[in-house]
Amino acid sequence: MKPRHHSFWPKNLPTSLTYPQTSLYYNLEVSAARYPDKRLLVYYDTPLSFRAARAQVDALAGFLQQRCAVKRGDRVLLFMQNSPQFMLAFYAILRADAMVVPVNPMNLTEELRHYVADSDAVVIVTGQELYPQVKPLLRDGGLRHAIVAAYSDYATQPTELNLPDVVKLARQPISDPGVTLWSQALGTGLAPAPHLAGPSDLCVMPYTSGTTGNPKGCIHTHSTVMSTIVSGAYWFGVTPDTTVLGTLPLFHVTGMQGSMNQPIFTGATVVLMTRWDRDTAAAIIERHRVTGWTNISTMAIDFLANPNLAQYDVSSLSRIGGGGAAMPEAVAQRLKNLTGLDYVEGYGLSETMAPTHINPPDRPKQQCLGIPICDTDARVINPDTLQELGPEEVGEIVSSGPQIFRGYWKNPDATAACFIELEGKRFFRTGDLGRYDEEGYFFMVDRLKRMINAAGYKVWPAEVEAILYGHPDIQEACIISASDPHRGETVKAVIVLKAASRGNVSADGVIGWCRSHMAAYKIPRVVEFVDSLPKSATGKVQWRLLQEREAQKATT
Amino acid sequence: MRPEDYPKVWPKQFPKGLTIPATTLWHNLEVAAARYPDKTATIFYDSRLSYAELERQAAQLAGFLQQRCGIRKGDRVLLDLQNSPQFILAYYAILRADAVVVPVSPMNVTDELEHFVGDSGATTAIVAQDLYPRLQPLMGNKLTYAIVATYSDYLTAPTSLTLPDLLTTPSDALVESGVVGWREVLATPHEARAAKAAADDLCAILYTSGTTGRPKGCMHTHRTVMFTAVGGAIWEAMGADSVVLDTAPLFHVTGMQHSMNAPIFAGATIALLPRWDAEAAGYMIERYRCTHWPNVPTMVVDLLAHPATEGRDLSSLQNVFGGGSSMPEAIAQKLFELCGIEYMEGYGMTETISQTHMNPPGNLRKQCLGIPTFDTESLIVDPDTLAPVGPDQPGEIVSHGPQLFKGYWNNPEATAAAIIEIEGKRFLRTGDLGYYDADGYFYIADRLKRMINAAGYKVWPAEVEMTLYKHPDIKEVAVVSTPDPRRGETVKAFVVLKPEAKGKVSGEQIVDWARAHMAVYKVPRLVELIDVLPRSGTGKIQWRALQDKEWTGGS
Repeated sequence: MKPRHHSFWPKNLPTSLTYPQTSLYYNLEVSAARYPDKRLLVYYDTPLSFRAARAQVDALAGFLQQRCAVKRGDRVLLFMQNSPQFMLAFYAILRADAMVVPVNPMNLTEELRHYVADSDAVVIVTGQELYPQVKPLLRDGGLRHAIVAAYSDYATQPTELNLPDVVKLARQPISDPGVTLWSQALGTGLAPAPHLAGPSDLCVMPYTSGTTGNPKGCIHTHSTVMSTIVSGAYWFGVTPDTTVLGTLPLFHVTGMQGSMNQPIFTGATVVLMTRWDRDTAAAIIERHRVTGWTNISTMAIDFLANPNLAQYDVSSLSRIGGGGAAMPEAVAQRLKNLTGLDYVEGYGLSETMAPTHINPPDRPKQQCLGIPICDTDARVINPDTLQELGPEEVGEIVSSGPQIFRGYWKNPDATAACFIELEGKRFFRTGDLGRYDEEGYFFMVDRLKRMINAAGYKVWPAEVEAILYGHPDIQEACIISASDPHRGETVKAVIVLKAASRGNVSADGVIGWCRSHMAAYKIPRVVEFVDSLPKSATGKVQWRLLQEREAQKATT
Repeated sequence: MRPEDYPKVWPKQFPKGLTIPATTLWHNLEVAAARYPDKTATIFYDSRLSYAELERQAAQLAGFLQQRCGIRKGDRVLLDLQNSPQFILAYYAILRADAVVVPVSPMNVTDELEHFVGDSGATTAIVAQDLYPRLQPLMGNKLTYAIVATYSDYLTAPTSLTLPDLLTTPSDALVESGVVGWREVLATPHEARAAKAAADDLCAILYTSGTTGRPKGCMHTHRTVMFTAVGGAIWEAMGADSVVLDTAPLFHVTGMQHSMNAPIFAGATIALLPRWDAEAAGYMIERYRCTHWPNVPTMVVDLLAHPATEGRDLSSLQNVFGGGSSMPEAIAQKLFELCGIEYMEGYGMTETISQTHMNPPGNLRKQCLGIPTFDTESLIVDPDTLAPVGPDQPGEIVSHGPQLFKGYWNNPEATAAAIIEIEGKRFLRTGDLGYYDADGYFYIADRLKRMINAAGYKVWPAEVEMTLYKHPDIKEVAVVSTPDPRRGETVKAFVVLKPEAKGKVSGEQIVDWARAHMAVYKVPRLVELIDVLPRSGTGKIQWRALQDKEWTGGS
């Protein structure tokens, strides 16, 4: 930790924290003891108390242990949209001393197959609308048990809010072998064995794609996850009387921490949405007197663009912020005019279980990653020489702190490649190019790594290319980023067709094929056919050259 | 006036009302011990006790109370100790045994203790070795068991500090019936039964004197105590990394809440000082980087005036909070220069288990009670008609909130007199005269009730008079407040001797007699012998006339 980053440290916040030496499940246990009748969450106007949540978590944990043979350290897939069941299943898996493997619900069977095989999970908890993607893996893909939830089971109170179809959908019977409906699993009333997991047990493994193909599992223990739960709660002063709006996906680290784990630790209330909808969000903020909202800038932009916004009372908001993509200055100003609040940005990765950096709430800067949080040491290095750089010098951001993951699952080479040692301390290489200013605030300059940030969804070109190579007509493909007025950037494919296919395959044809082979956010929005791809002397595709050409096109 | 009435100064990071744990105080220690087992809970002259150890020993003491002293749910247990690890252990052990803590001032003498034991019905006491002789006369009749603690048992690490004598005394082997040493209690494992107490069970009975004689016990439940503990932790921004310097006595609500129960809720470290010692306080702040210091303003005056403080690094302090008497402007300024922080004043009573009012962070005022805290409503009423009055109009401060006590123990009449109902809500009559200004900040105007605030210690003239009347040579007495350069105000007695004693008894002799019959802070510092006390037409002693003369310099 460098004092220069502490010039504007939040008042009265310790720079170093004492973190609870327990599992995350203990946080739920404490909040359920302290605030039994308080709302843990509200789902489209249907509340769930801390007491009820704990009882259901325990029942599901009992089922996982006794009927699905889940043991300490086992991996369990969690493949669901934002819903009460996501939160309950997350804590039930932890209660059973197992590790949660959250999977983006946009993934399709083929992608899911990788997660199953890589994590060795044999149990999955999923939503009924996603079950068709899971079904083939129950037959031959290694899964033995699926617990299938209907979100409508938890949206039972009458409401005039606009429910997404998937939330309205009544519980469907499924009689496939290996399948148990959520309601049946809870109904068995099985008690879990005594809780064993402690701070160093495996807790959650979010997958992140990367520059080299298949997504990799980031191993987090209870202690790495606990660290950003606690520092985030302190940073923003979260109390039991905080109400947060949960719009970010819970499978991803920002939503997981800010909209689920932090509220459970502090005894706060989460008002959860399954799908982003700006009118529903505004109505919920007004109705439930929401005080905090962590989002992605694109959501805030859409929220502020709502012509009906003035009809809603959003004066209860006392904190709004996010990360993942920089907030445009004009939008931040509009937000300030409306609410009097500054948009407080942060920065982190799946490997760091959300923030390594946040802006000080009383002195934030815009389009800024913030300052390194409690117990976190972040620096900028020359990516080639690994020499540390000074203020205003651009280099790779590296971070050290209690939130840094333990490594990639079954991938010691990738793990070794992402850590360096500086002054005897182990730093994680973020792959992001940045700098810090004279006041110690960090800024993102560019990405060193090959990644496309499409409205906050991270798309990894190598992964998309690997799938495209499965197309019968494609000879070569290179994925680059193209600018997009709404998503900031989007996915573009530069494709060389096989000789026999030239003239017979259209861009729409390729896009249509992608729809059934990859999650929607990864699908190229633009396809360009070329005769050949630029190659280096060693034969490597020079994606950076294509990327630069694309960028030039955008500015001319 | 409620938090909603302060949109300009109410801290924006605070909710207006709090959801507080529906658990017992014991659960707070259990959680802190589970989360931070190896973290230091207490520092006692450089000797440390971890949270895991604090919980383990408290549970073991609870088992002893249950199995050997027959303590059952709701029983009262007397607690007579200076600030020490044992005070905290005993307090939480009593709660772990589902019983009710009756903390008393270690300054109390046998006569006073007899009242507390008799009134509360306590049969077991946990007492310091040096204080035991004062309880000894009660053993075998009112008291059945006494657990005797020796402070030196918890001095396990070397220290460069000068220890007060009472801390270095080794433990005595007491061989009286019903008396057991603390060390023996911990040497014999006794497992406590499953905890049964709930939020609305009694937690503590805190004695407070008043205008009408004998001290009365304020009944507080776990819920009322939890409220100001949690509210204090939030208001003062206390967390697991806070280090709280505890110089305020733990038997009294300010220390109990802000220096013990709030830190334990937060999982913070408590640096304990049993006796006020400015040099040791400065050492502790510097050595342990203390972040919080609840106190009475005279302690800040002392610390900043002490030669040893010169050159000390006090920069770790983030919150220096206090009440009981107001902070002199010059001292507040010096504190600001040394630590960059403003002194935070608050206001409350034993009946409200500390704060009803706090000054809001970011908008602190001096010599000011602050604004009503979370969920609290305060008004100024005309003391005669009880009708609420507006800004800048003096009247009696009355308060309503979740921290209000449940009444006086075995004293429904006193309870009824202390509570008024306004618009269907229960308000406590504080007996303090005050007003709020145009911004809604509350100030003390004068005291309606007969009470002397000597360096934060509240002395009740009626109680002192009642004791002095037991003196064989005193015919009549009136106790009043008189100015004191250090204590702010102090205790003075006007005494009319019986005719046969005139000329034979001196004021000094009366002071000496008082020392043996009442806690030292109550003892009149001045005794003036006079021939006759001024009386009203109805024959009441006009104490106010005597007191006014003291303060206007007319005597």
